[in-house]
Amino acid sequence: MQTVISTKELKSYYVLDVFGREKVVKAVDDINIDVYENEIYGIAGESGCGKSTLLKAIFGIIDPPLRLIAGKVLYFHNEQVYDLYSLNSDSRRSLRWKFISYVPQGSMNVLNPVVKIKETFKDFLDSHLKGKTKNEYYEMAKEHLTNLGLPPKILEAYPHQLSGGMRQRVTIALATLLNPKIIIADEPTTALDVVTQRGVIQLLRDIQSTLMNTIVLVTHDMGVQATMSTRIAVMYAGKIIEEAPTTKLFQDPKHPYTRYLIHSLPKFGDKSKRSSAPGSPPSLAALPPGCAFHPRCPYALEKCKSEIPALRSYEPDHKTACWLMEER
Amino acid sequence: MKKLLEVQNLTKIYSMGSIFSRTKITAVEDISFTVGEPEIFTLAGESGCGKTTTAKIILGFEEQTSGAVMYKDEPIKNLRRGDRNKVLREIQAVFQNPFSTFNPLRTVDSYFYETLINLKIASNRKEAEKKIAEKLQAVGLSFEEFSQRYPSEFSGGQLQRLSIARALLTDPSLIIADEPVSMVDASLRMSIVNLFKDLKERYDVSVIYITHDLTTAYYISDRMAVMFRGNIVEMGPAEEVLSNPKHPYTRLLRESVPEPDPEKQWTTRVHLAESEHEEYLQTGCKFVARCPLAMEKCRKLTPPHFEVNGTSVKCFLYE
Repeated sequence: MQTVISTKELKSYYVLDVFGREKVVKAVDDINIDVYENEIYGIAGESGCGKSTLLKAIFGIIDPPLRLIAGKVLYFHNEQVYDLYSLNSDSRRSLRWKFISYVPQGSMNVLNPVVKIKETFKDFLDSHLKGKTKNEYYEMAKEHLTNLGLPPKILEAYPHQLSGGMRQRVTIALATLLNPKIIIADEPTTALDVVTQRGVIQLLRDIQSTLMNTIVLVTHDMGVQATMSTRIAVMYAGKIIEEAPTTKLFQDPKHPYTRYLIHSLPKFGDKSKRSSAPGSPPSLAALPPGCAFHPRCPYALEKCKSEIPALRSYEPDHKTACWLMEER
Repeated sequence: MKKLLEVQNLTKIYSMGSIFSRTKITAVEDISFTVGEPEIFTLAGESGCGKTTTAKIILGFEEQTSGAVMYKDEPIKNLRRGDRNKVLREIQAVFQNPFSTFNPLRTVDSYFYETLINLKIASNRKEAEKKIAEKLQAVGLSFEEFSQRYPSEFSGGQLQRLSIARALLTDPSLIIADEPVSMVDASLRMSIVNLFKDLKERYDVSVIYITHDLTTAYYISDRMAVMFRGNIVEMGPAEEVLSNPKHPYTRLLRESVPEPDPEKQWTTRVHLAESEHEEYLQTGCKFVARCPLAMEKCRKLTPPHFEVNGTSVKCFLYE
C-alpha cells in the first residue's frame, strides 16, 4: 500500500502566557501515523483530546498560540516526498486543495452570506487556476456538482436559502473541486440531523469511491466511524492509544479506554446495562504522569503511574499503547 | 399506571417577519400525550420538530396558542400563583449545555442554597446543607468536592450531574431533560443516562427525555413519541416503535442511525430536502414530499392517528 501522508514524532503544543507564567497544553504529543492511498482513516476521541489540532498540524496551519515543537509531516505526491514544514509558503500553497484539502469544523458557516454560491465557486477556481472566463468557471462548478449528485440550481441560491445539510455538502463540493488526493474532514457530520448526516456520509463515500483518494475523518461519533472508516486511530489526551482496521477495533478492542468507548455505546435490540469509564478526561495542560488514562483505568499497574507506554504492534496491523499488553 | 402529566391538543404558532409580510410557523401542531407515574417518556425527533417548544410550554416558559397541559388532572395555565409555584416545584428541568446552566461568576453551591431558601424547603443553612448532601449523593458526587467552587472548576459531566442534583432539590415528581447528554463527553455519556434510569427506579421520578439520539432513547425509555415538523407521527412503547417502526418517517430515521457495528452498512440511499422551510407549510401529511409510499390523499388530507399493535401512527397506510 502506498503511503500518502506520514507524521514523524509530531509534537504541537499550545503555549499560553497566563499572567506571566507559561502554560503548555500538549494537544498533539508524539504522533506517528501513516495514512495510505484509497482508504478512509478515522481519528476518534473525545472533545479536547487533540484530534482537531492534529488535523491542523497535518494541513500545516499552525498559528500562535499553537506551536510546532518537534517532528515532521511528510506528503507523498507524484513520487516525490515533501517535508511540509521545510517548504516555503508558495510551494505549500500550491499543494493545498490540489493535493490535500481541508473541511474544517463548522464549515457550513464559511459561505459568504451576501453572494450567491456560484460566486464562491468562481472565486475559489479563479485563485487557483487563473486565466479563464467567468462563464467557464460557472460551467466547471456546475459539472462538478452534477458529478457529485447535487442539484446544479443551488449555484443560484444564497447560503441562507439552503438547509444545513445542503450547505455542508456544498462546502465538501468546494473542497473537492480540484480533485485532491487527500481530503481531511473535521467533524463533517456533527450538528447535523440523523437523516442529513446520512446524506453527507453518502456523499463523502461516493467521492472516495469515484476519485479513489484518501479521506482522513475526525469524529467523536463511533457510529459514524463504524460506517465510514476503514482504519481507526483512537486518541486520548494528545496521544494515539490504539490503531486498527475498523472491524478488528470494534470486535476486539485492546486498550481499556477503547473498550469503554465501544462497550458503552447503546445498541438497538440490547438493553443490558452500559457503563462509562470512571472519572473524567484529564486537562491537556495538567496531564498525570505515566499513561494519561491510568487514574481512570481499573487495571492500572504500578508501572502505568510513572512510565508512558509506546504505541506498538502486538498483532499484525493492530497497534496499542498499553503496558497490559506487555505483561501478557 | 397513574397519569401524572397530560398534554391535550397542544398547538403553538410562531409568527415571524414584519407587519407587511407575516409568515406563520406552526412549531407544535395538535399534539397529545400522557406521562405516567413513574416512567421515562421520550420525545424524539430532528431539529425543528417542536420537541423543545413542547418542553418550554410544559415548563411555562412559553404560552401555547391552544390546547392544555394538565398536571395531576389540573390545567397548569389556570392555577393561582401559590398553586402554580407548587406545581413548578414538582416539575423541574435539566438543560442541554451544562456549561451555560450556571453563571461562571457565581459559585455553584449558591444556586443550591438559593433554590432551597426561595422555595422555602429549608429554613436555615444547616438544614439546607443536609438536603444538598443527600441530593449530591444521589447523583454520585460528594459535598466536599462541591462547596465554594466555580463552574469552571468542574468538567462537563460533573456540571450535568450538578444540574440534575439541583433539579432534585425540590423532590420533583417529573424532570424534563432537554438533550441532557448531547454535550457530555462520550466516555461519560452513559453514566448520565444511567442516572435518569436510577432516578426512576429508586426515587420514582418520571422523566420526559427529549433527544435526537434514538439509541439512548431505546436504552432508557418506557414509551416514546417521534415528532416530525410539529406533529407526533408515531407513539407507543419504545421497544415496539424502534424495533418495528411503522410510519415511513420513523423507518427512515431508525434506518439512518449510524450503528457502531461495522457489519451493518446501509444498502439504500437517502434523498434530502433542499430547504426545510417548505415542509412546515405543506398541507396534508408533512412528510409527503419525501415519503416513498405517498398516496394522492396524503397531499390533501391530514392523516389522523391509527392504532396498530399498541402504537399510534399518524399515517394513511394504516387506515
